[in-house]
Amino acid sequence: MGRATSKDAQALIHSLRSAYAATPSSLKIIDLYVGFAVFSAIIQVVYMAIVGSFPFNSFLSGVLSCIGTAVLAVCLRIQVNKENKEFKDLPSEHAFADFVLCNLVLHLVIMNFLG
Amino acid sequence: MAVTKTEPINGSTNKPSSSSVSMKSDLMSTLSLKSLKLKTKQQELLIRVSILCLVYVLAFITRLFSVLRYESMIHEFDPYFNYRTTLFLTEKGFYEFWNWFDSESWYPLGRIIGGTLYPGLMVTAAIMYWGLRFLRFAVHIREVCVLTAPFFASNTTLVAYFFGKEIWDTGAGLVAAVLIAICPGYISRSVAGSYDNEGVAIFALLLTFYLFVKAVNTGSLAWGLGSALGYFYMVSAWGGYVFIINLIPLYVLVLLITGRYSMRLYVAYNSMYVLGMLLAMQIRFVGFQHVQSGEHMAAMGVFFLMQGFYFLGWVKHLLGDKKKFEALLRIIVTCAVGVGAIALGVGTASGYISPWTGRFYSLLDPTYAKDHIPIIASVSEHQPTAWSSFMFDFHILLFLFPAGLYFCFKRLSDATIFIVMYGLTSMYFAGVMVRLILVATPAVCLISAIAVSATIKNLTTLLRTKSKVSQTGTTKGASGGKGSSKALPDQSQPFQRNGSYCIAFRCFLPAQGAHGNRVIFDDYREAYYWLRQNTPADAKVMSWWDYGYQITAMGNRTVIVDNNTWNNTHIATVGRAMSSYEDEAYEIMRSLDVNYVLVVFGGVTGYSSDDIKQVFVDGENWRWSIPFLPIETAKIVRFLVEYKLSYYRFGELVTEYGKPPGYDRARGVEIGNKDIKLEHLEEAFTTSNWIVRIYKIGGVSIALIYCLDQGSDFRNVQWIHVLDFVSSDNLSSHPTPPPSHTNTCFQQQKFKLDHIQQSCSNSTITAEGNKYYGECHEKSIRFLKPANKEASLGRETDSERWAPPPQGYALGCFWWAEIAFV
Repeated sequence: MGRATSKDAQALIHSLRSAYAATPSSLKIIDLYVGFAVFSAIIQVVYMAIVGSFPFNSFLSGVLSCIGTAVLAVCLRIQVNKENKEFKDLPSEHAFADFVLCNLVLHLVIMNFLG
Repeated sequence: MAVTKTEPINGSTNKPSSSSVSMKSDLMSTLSLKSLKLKTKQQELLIRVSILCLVYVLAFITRLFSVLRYESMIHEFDPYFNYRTTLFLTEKGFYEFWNWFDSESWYPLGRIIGGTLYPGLMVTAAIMYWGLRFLRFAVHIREVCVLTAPFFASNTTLVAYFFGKEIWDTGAGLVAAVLIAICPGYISRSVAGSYDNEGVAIFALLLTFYLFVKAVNTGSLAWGLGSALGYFYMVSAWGGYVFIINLIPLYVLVLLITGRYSMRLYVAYNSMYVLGMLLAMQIRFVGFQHVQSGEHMAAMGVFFLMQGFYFLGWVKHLLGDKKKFEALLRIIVTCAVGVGAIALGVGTASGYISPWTGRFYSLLDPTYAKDHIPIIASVSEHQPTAWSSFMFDFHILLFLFPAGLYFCFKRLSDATIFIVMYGLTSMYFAGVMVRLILVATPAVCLISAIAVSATIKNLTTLLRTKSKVSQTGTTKGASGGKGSSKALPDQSQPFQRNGSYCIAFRCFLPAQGAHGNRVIFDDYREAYYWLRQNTPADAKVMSWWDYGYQITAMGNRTVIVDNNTWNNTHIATVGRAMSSYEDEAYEIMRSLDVNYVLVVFGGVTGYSSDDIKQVFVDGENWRWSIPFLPIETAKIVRFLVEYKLSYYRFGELVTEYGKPPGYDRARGVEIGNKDIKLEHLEEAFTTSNWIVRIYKIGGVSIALIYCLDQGSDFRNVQWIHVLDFVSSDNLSSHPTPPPSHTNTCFQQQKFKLDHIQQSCSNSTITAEGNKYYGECHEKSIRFLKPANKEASLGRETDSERWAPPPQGYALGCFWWAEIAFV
């Protein structure tokens, strides 16, 4: 079972890679942004685990700003992706403007919450 | 609701020719809409807008009953706290308000008001006040506060219209607006004068739900942001936001399970959750609860679930349809879910994630509060709802609600699933607690509106097809017939109930005089203003916690406990003082630095929910408030402070024609002990109908009769020959001796000696209130003989008779016998 699983895993990864390569580059940029945001959130959590969570509001605001912007970027990706039939009528500029607006509110709140 | 004109929309009426028409029909035709030369769509818009305007005005004026009939004042208890904080906000500014520490309530402890209130209501009223002032309307903040709730009720009708339009169609929206405007369940808690959080919170609740449903329907980030802002307003306004943060994840879960999810749902929920959570944490009172409290964990769980779910969906889409890799992924997913569950379990067990607080837990388990949190169980608003409350608060909507559910299920969509869930969950909670009928009201109105609108639509379609068939036969045409809307006949009740509701809540009480004329009792305000004008500014007032907010707001004095009930031990201390003998109570009051005691007494007016009922008859209520005393202590009720303060001098008063003096109209009995004497308290003020009685502490009021040597001066007096200490009451029997050639005698009244205690005298009163006289013994308390024939031997001398009774049934019998026969 072990060898079969690792072979399956390799095949899985390979097919994922090949399928992903086909996505348009604009979506890949958004994915990169999401990955970066999640990565920085993980770093902050690890740092908190080491150092302690004393100004808890600062910790929360840092982590939530990363998670928040990642989530908003995913929403943007969903809206911009041509394959989604539901968002066919939504121009991508409109989607991006919504994204920017939400990020603005998010970071305003973060600045207030940072303490 | 307006009735449409009788022409059908396709406008096939026969118009009489202008040459042969009389003046009357000419006038009629100019008044008809067709003469305005509007197209059909514009006609419809005009009708809709005019209906909404009328409904807006209707919602406002329905709630003005008590202001028009009596005066513009704030009702009940909690609104006084809100009013006081709003006053503070407008006077001192937002920074002072946000960081306010109040030392005028919870006397030795104080209260951090800035961090323990929901600021939405106060900030809203303050903004309206500043806006009106900016436009140079010189309004007083109290008028703004009194009229805030009706104003927001009108706004709620608008939101209900848009919500109904979103769920069903414009007809349902209009009906929903009308129903919300006149529904008694909402009116009762948003009358003019009821300046409480719910007035604004229901508007915020409906707005949040509407924006969220709009976001789910359109999948737009902007609407998601809007719903997050609406949620922020709700969190700032009321503690009931927990309902939103649990209902929406539940809704998302239901959609995921039934397979109706879509990309729009992801966008809507995530934007609302992340932004809403962050915004909510800006309110100090809420703090970090969104990540630490068990009540908010559902939302977080669903958030992670959604990420996983949609990520899996995306991977599946990428891979095409390779099924065995799906199996592998399923194993990974199960592991992830397991890890999540373990994390949740560890968090809850270690106490990091706090469990559901008692307030909300008692909604899930209604018997919880009765056993564990008596102070929540004792509030009358928190009792389970009787069916009659449902009937009086909803009227015909009770029948339309199931019909609306039927229609919703017939045409299931994301929005109708939401409204069905909102309706069912809110009806469950409305059944658990009377106060939550308010939360159910918008749902019931909306669903009933769907029923009404759908039924009428079916009817009119039926009528039109029938008329089309019959039109081929006759030339008369014009069959639109009945209007396409019906008026709903539930106008009568709100006015009566409205009036009795606001008045009965202790702002002032109306009653029938002896000749049937209406009498208003304004005793509460009379007492508070007496306090305000006749006591020193730093006086501390002790009363039962119900009256705390009003005393602080109207009397402007420091109180010991108030309606916030955040410290049960402090409340228990006050309860203990009220239910002790006078000596023990005096000690407690001295330790709390109390200067005045305020009791509410309903014996003269027949007002039955006064302090006697609170402290005694509600046996449970009394018992919980004194956790330290053993229950076996059999106290004789007539010597407890609460009893004495209520019935002091009552025995002299004739309350009802034909009844003996001292007849208690609230309990319906004549009191037995009419000769009450107070040792450490003296009566300071009793209102004109004896409803509020204020007593002063701080020593016995004594008159001093003393003589000075002839020719001496007060400035250099060294010795005062004290002739007598007399109680002020008995002064008339001890006149001042006339001046002689050696000295001049004076009499000084109200010579307050703080905490006088006789070191030893030859008379004393034991704990049972029995008076003994004889020699003082330092070591022994066995006195010579009892002071009067009726007195029995005391506990110390007759220990057998006074042994504590066995617990349980015998105790209960003893108690009720004592209370009944007193």
